[in-house]
Amino acid sequence: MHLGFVNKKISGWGRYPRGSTSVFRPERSADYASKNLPKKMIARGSGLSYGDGSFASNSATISTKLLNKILAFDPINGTISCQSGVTLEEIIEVSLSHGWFLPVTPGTARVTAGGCAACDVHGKNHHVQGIGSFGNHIRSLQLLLANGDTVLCSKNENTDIFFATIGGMGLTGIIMDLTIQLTQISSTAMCVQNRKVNNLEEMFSILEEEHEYSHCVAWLDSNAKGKNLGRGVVMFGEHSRIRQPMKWQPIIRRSLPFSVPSIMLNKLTSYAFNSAVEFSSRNQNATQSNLANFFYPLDTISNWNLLYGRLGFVEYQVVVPEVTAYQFIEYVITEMQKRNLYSFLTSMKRMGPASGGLLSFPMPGYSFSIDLPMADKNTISFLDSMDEKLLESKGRVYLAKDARLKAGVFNEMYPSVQQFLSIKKKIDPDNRFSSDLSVRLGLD
Amino acid sequence: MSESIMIIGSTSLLAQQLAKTYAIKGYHLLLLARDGSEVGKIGEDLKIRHNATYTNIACDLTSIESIAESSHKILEYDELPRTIIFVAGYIPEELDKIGENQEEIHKMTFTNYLGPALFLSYFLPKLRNSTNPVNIVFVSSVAADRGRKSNYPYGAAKNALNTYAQGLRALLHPYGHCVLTVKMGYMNTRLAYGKIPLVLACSPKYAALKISQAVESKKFIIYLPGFWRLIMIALRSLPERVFIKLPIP
Repeated sequence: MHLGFVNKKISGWGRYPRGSTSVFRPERSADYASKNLPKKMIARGSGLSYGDGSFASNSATISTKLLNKILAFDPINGTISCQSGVTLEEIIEVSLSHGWFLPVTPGTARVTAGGCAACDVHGKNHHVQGIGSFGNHIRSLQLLLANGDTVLCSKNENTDIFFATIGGMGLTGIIMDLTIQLTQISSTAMCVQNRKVNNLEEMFSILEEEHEYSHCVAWLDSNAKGKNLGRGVVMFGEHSRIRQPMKWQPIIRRSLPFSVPSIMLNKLTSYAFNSAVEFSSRNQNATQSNLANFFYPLDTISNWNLLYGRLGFVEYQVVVPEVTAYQFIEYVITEMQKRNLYSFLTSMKRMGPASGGLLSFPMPGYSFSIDLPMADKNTISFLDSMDEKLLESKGRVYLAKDARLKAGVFNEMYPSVQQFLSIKKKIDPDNRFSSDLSVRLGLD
Repeated sequence: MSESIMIIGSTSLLAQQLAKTYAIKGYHLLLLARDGSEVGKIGEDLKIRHNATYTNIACDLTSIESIAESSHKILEYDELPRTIIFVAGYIPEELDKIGENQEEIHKMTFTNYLGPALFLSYFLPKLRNSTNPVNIVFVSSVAADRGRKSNYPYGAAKNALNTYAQGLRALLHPYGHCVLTVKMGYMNTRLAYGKIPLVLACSPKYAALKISQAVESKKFIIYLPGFWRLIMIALRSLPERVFIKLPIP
């Protein structure tokens, strides 16, 4: 390998699985010339997708971290064009003082714009009419193809490539830059309200309700049983409408000095943690919070993934259609308890219409997620058996979080796979863009 | 024109950090590089994020015509830039048999020494008549301090640059101008990425901060990271007969 490549053992945010890969970090646009790039590769932004989508074992991983220029910002219409390595926090830093914020944001601002497009990420407001996922707000993007050409694609131009790239996990090429439509807000304050929920039935009825808050996410106590099963807290949030001058306060990050020994991840600590959250949250009248605390509470600890121990963890995030959601979620929680598995963070939210991305995750229904430490040997076999139930329920697994899904199951979950593959075959006949995830799922 | 800073070789990571540092201080940026479109992106980014103002000037340090053209563009301004920083440098990716590659020797000598010397030749008359003090910074390399078998044509060009800087410093001192030589060890950029243990390297951000501080305090020579001064003192003090037998590449 020539200069600038370094062999590294890396992983996604879940720290499982890990792979040995050769990382190349281009410093300027010219480094992206086809002849300077390896034969097989996958782009990696902040590396915050959970599983193995952001690296390629035994081939090359292209770090887009230095593709970090903001190219244009229109404070009147709220569009921003940036290179794909620009993080969401960097976008907010520029746009917020002009009254513009991200229409869709995941739970961390450390992710790159390119990563958000490739995973077609969603936020706590996916169900709101006209919002949907990140891909819905991309005006256009420049994609570097396997043959070295760059194409502009959007909903009107090179449409097939656009919808293969949104949620396409980087398998169509390297997203070089993109233009995003931002949304106008008038305050950095958030009106938030918590509602305590006693069981799963109540949980569903509250999430179904129409209410004035556009952001909504529920936390569930995965240890609650019997008539309490599914108890938790629903957190609502809405941008305050009181006009005020706005400035982004950078998030101050602290880090854990070491990973938590896996012996600490047991029934007791899980009960203690879940009960503490349960105890500390109660029905609350509307209060004020700010953007960073509401949207990015976990960003204050830069490496909270170390809480799951040396072996890492798997997040199982699924979306299930409305009709089967209740049954599926009840089933997963009961099975988890039967098998003595403990999820530290269990959450749920409502989802709206899909964005059109061929491999995009969101679809109407309910999203549900559990975090399981890999220190527990049964984690993988448990999730495999949940996949069967999920298929029955017509649901699907989120690829940005996935580390273990099997190819056969994946093909059934994502009905547009064949369409995706035929586009990929056209623009990347030699599978130049390939990751551990794509190999595992048979997308090569 | 507000106080300005001229950066020659504006697309490197160090140059970008320097541009950012001075943009935040409110300087107008004169950005010179071969790749104008890349400079445009860097300038726009600084404009959007930090309200910077910049001028993008094409300049190829390996071309005598380009050097003349770009320096005349800058001399058209009433005032000289407050600070002039030569970040531009060139070392080939492939150093094997470097002494036998005519093209690379030519390019290294031009970019690292001849280019800056020719460029400044147009500025000297104005520098001698300027009442405002100007800081001139040369980003050089520790490779200049002692010729090594792996990169001697590069070290030689940087050594020539250092000697040039010494003379220029003495010449311009009476006029109140200050010349700073920065002897770079390893920086966490493409050249060193993955090859050098990170403890021996510094980040471009750190280097830019240290350079701007050294300009402020009118230093003559600095090493970056600072401990390279000790390493180079040790290496320089070795007798030639001993040095040539050492297993140093």
